[in-house]
Amino acid sequence: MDRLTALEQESIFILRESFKKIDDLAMLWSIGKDSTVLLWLARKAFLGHVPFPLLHIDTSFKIPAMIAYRDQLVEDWNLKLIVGQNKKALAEGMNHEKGRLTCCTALKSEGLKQTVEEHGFGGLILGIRGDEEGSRGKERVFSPRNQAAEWNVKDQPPEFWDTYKTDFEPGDHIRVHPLLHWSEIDIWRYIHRENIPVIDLYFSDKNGMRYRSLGCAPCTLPIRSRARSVPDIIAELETTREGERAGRAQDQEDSHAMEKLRAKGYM
Amino acid sequence: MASSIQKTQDITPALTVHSTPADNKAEPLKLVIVGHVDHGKSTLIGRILYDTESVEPGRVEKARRICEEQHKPFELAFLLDALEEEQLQGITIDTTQIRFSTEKQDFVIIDAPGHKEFLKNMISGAANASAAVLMIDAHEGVQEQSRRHGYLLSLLGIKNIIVVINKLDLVNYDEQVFNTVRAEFLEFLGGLGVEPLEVIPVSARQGDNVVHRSEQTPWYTGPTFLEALERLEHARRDENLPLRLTVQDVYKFDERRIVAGRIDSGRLKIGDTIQVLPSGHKAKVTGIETWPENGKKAGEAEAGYNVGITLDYQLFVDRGHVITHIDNGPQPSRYLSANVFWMSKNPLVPGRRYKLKIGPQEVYAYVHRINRVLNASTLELDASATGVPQNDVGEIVFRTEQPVVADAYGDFIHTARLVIIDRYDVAGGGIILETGQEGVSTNGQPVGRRDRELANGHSAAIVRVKSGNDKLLPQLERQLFDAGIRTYLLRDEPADEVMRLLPRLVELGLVILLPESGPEADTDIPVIPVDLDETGLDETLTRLRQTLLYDAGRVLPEYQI
Repeated sequence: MDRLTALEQESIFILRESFKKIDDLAMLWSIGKDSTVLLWLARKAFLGHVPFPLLHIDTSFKIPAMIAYRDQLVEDWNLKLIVGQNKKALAEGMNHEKGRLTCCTALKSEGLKQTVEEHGFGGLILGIRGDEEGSRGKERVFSPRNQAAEWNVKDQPPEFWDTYKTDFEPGDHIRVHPLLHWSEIDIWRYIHRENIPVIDLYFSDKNGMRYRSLGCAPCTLPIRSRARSVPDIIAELETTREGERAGRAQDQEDSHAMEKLRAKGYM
Repeated sequence: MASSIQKTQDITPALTVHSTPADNKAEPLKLVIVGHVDHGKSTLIGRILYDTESVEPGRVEKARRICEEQHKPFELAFLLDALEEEQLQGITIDTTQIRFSTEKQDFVIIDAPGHKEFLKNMISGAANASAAVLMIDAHEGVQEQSRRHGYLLSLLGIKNIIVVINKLDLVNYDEQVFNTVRAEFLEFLGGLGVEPLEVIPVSARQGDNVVHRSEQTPWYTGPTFLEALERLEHARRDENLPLRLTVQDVYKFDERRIVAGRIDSGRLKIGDTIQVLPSGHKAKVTGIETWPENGKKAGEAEAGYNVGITLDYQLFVDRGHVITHIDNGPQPSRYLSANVFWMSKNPLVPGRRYKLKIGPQEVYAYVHRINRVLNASTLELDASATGVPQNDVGEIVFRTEQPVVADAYGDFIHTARLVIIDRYDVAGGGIILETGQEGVSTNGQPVGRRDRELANGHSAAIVRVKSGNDKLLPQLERQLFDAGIRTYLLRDEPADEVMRLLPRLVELGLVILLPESGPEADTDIPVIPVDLDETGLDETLTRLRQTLLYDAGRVLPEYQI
């Protein structure tokens, strides 16, 4: 079995486990390449269906093209989408100028928490990958959160083979990471193999710039690139030494920024 | 900027036919490197990364700088430290996996850090490894942890083991020293039934026999370490074994009723007649469903693939049932023995109800017998142990409440490993040695009291309690209940009500507590008199557990195996 098929089959197994074992499940969809691959895998796992709602946390600062693309795909693929937003923080004028980590925590972590509480979700499927940054590398496939959505990185449940932790105390919240073992280049090779549609922000524009990782407009910078197609991107990734999230300003706020954000419920 | 969606063509990789583009090698081989502290694990990893040019020159320079700053000679082990520093900054590599490649194969080294946390980390990392490298210092010889790690690898069922005898430079590349250490360790591993693929003399520091063949060891004709790695085979997903498909779920999203699960071994074709265990009901496979549909459906699928199948007959199928071909499925049973490693603070003990997970199959079980317990630190065997403490391993016979469908570990892997859940927590895991044919066959018989007693894990009884202190009775009830005994205190009900209830409650296999003043019972159940004033609560509890729980000493003759 080749690498991509092995990853695909592992993810399908995980998706089916989570759907069976977790009540009130939702899948986080950020419109980016990873969670779009995840959405594709869900349709494979459930034979054309997506049997849970998709959740998008809209900070209101997303690159506008992402929202247009999102709404288009929801229509084309007949998806059930829930858009969550921390309206209170936005009304009080929250933005990245108040501090990037403060803003991320309010609009993303807190926005997610509010939406999860409002809809009573018991578990979330997320498209994070272990190679994105250090703290995600420490994650489990089935990762419990306490009632305050906090992550206890120091005391995580053991994962034996592919038998994940699926027994929880009432009130616990669980995050499922089917893409944990994929790398960035695996994602692009799979997009190529399966011909999965992706937003064109990932491709080099007329100014020779493209986004490698998508987020909020004020905190996400494009990179200089000639990659105009998926094979171009794969070729670029095969040689680059640049980190995937180098264009994500919040990561650079503090050398342990992501671990701190994620311990408090960030994706 | 306006957004447009790239329209997709309908490309469908069929389940059994998949292209392998040049840039999509076989999945990486996962390795775990273990051994006694300071026997050279980091240096070996550093040496491989360096000699296979898997690290950029900048990192080597950084490692040199770190060494200079600390006034130490340059050591390859510092390459890892330089990587770790990068990891802390969250740039490239995740903290638990180190990747390197040769032309033939990609590898992932799963870091199994600090020996104190070894067991737990080994579970989450090494349990998934296809191969293990056990390192021994030629100079120091076989040490306690060399043995312990060898034992744990054998318990995890990792069969591909390469032994590396390191630091040959410190013993002047003496063949005699190598042979002595080799013989000693092979004897130990042989006792565990483990036969390593290779025993390789290396000096990781000098680079002998790691990537490049050494001129210092002309007496050694076997493969270099890297050659040995390239010869490793992936953990088998053997499509030539008999079929095992554990049902994960049944989907009714539309008009189809789809049985979903992964093929753990063997292969499945449309038209095959299958049986669903433990019931043994049979049906024919009418479809193997795929998405996206590519005009035609897959006709067969093999081990490693998650499938959704349809059957010609709407028989009862549920999560945890095991689909096999006729006549080559395992016999469902109620007993299984396993090598278990235990990680919970609370020991694994008889009398407590655990959940066993064998893939998606879940059954409740009690410890039926503890054959032996191995102290993982001293490697001493204890044949009279009454439980398995944290971080130790034991050979355990479980008795399950529901029939269990499992294989002995060997050819079969997925249906031969179990995980033990204590309340909500993953508390232990192990590999299955055998399943008992003594299983109680239900064969459609009506459910009797003994079935219920067996399911409860203890015999039914009436306990007549003498106590000067009324408050002790609910306390006794609580403690019996917590000890895994299904109990009920009948105290406030009128005498005729008690007389009416007792036979029913006893028929449920319960242990009924009656105050001494309560009415005489008219059943065939043993009445156990206890005197709390004389024996006290703790002693009474101990005695009742001894008497009632099957696993605490007393087994009903009919159910002995």
